[in-house]
This record gives sequence, structure tokens and C-alpha cells, in this order.
Amino acid sequence: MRFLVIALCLVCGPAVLSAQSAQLSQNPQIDFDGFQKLSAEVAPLRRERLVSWKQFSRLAKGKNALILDARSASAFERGHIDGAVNLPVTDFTAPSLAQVIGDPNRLILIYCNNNFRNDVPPVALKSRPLALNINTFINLVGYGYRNVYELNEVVDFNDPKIGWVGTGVRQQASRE
Amino acid sequence: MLRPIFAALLLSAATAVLAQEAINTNPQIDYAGFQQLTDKVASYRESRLLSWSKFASAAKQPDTMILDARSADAYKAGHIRGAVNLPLTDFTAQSLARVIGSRNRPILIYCNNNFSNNESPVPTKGFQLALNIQTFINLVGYGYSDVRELNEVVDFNDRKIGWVKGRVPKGA
Repeated sequence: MRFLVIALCLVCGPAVLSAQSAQLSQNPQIDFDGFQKLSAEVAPLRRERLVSWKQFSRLAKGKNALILDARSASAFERGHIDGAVNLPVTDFTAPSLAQVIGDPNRLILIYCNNNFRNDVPPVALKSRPLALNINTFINLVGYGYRNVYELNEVVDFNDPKIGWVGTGVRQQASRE
Repeated sequence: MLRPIFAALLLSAATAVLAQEAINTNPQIDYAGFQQLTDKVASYRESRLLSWSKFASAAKQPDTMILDARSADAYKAGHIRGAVNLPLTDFTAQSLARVIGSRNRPILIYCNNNFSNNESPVPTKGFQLALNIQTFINLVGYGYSDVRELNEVVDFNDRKIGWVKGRVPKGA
């Protein structure tokens, strides 16, 4: 009998303890494991969705395509690719994305700071593993938008083909 | 006999994958590096989660800062008293150094998903897409390792939170 009780304690005790500590250590509104799984799921999808500038600009002309710029509003105001719409990744929620994008199957094109070689505001380079495109891609898929394509080229915003709108170009021009 | 053939096959497969990567990769973006960083942060973060009372007492320590990585508009509309704003979208090595200073500085973070209110300026994000997750990964990735995260869901109308209200953001 005593043996049975001890055995039961040994089997169940750790399970009860770990369940308790998991409850204590988790905000029910934050799921880090889920984020890791999502990042792993997005990795192979993203590899198939990397496009050159030529493909990017051709896709952007498609009916109902959307260039989504997920940088800060202030960065967007200072300069962005012509035709892009701004929704900072910090403001992504299911309702804000539905309002800006609409149809979950809509073709979405993304770019970020790390698509530019200029490395000046408003596209100052972020660290390679922390490029905004990575985050934006994961977030879009996580909210159910899977038809995402990412610019895979490093370009110069002074190159006329980029169609850069904003002060970045003027600042550059005034220096010349 | 089989083993060397198998090894050779593996090697050629690996080379093919590498070649593919070389073609497909923007040299300024490293997704695999992000995943490795995320894995590293996962276990570390577990030990860096604070209740509200611990968060509030830690915030009183000299040199400790509360960093709010939401949008500038959201921050202006409402934030925890004493918090400093640098939106995640504006994180770079330079901007973080300017706002934080020393890489050893104790940093406290919170986000939308720490609030039960689910309204502007803290509408709840997808649980796996909570801003704290991405802020934590970014701070560690830029070399700031003394990061602690609020681990409680609170109400911004609760007086103990010290919520500072500002103007309502555009479009809210």
C-alpha cells in the first residue's frame, strides 16, 4: 500500500508541479511557442515567395495587388515606394489588417529598410536577422494572409526605376 | 560500402541547398539567423517574466528603464507612466544605443497583450504575434540582454498601473 502511494506521488507529483509553474509563468495572451512554430512554418513558404525587383514591380501592376509598407508612419512619410500603403507592424491586429487589406487572398508585396543599400533614414539598415520583412512575413501569415511576396533585391532609392516618393530623394539631390 | 555512398549523397544534397540559398537570399536579410535567435531567446525569456508588483518595483531601481515598443501614435494615446517610446519598426543598432545607452542597462517591456481592455491604444494582437515576443527577440539580438517582461494581464483603468492618457491616434 505504502509503495503504491509513493509510486503515485512520483508519477503525478512532477506533472502537477510543472502544470502549476507553467500557469504561473505564462501570460494567457502571449504564446511564444506558437510564434516559434509559425516562424518554422513560414520559412519554406517565404523561400518560394522571394522576388526580384523586376518581378516585384510587374506583380504590383496586377489588379488588386497591394504594396504593404510595415515601417513606422514617420518613416513612411519621409519616403516610400510609389503606390505603397502603410500599416506599421506594431499596429497589426486582425481588424486593422482586415481594414487595410480586405480579402485574405489578396496579393501582398512587402519591402523594408533592408532592401536598400542607402542605409540612411528613413531606411536605416537593421541587423540581418532582425530585418522587418521577416517579422512582417510571419505576422501576415499568422493573421491568415498567405499570398505574400517579398522583394529580394537590394536597391538604391535614388534609382529612378524604384519610384521613390519623399524627402529621401530631395535630401540626396540637394547634396549634389 | 553503403555508408560512403550515403554520405556522398547527403553532401551533394547539402551543396544543392546551399546553391539555392545563395540565389534566393538578400544578403541583408537572414531568416535562419532569426530562427536561431528566437530559439535562444525562448528558454532565456522563461526566467525573465515578472508579475505586476515585481515589474513596478523593478521600475523604481536606478538606471532601469521601461521601454514601450509600440507605435508612436499608440504611445502618445496612452502608456505606463515613465515608459520611453522607441517603436520596434525603428529599432536599429544606432537608435537603440541612443535611447538605451549601455547594453547592460536593465530594460522592462510590456505591450498591447498585457491589457485586458482590448481597445485603442492597446487592441489585443494575435497571441503568437504579441509585440513583447518580437521586442524581446530584437533587444537580445541587438545585444541588450538584461530584459524583463511584464507577465500579467492588467486593466489600464486600474490606478496602480499609472496609465498616462494622451490624444487619440489618427483613425482610431
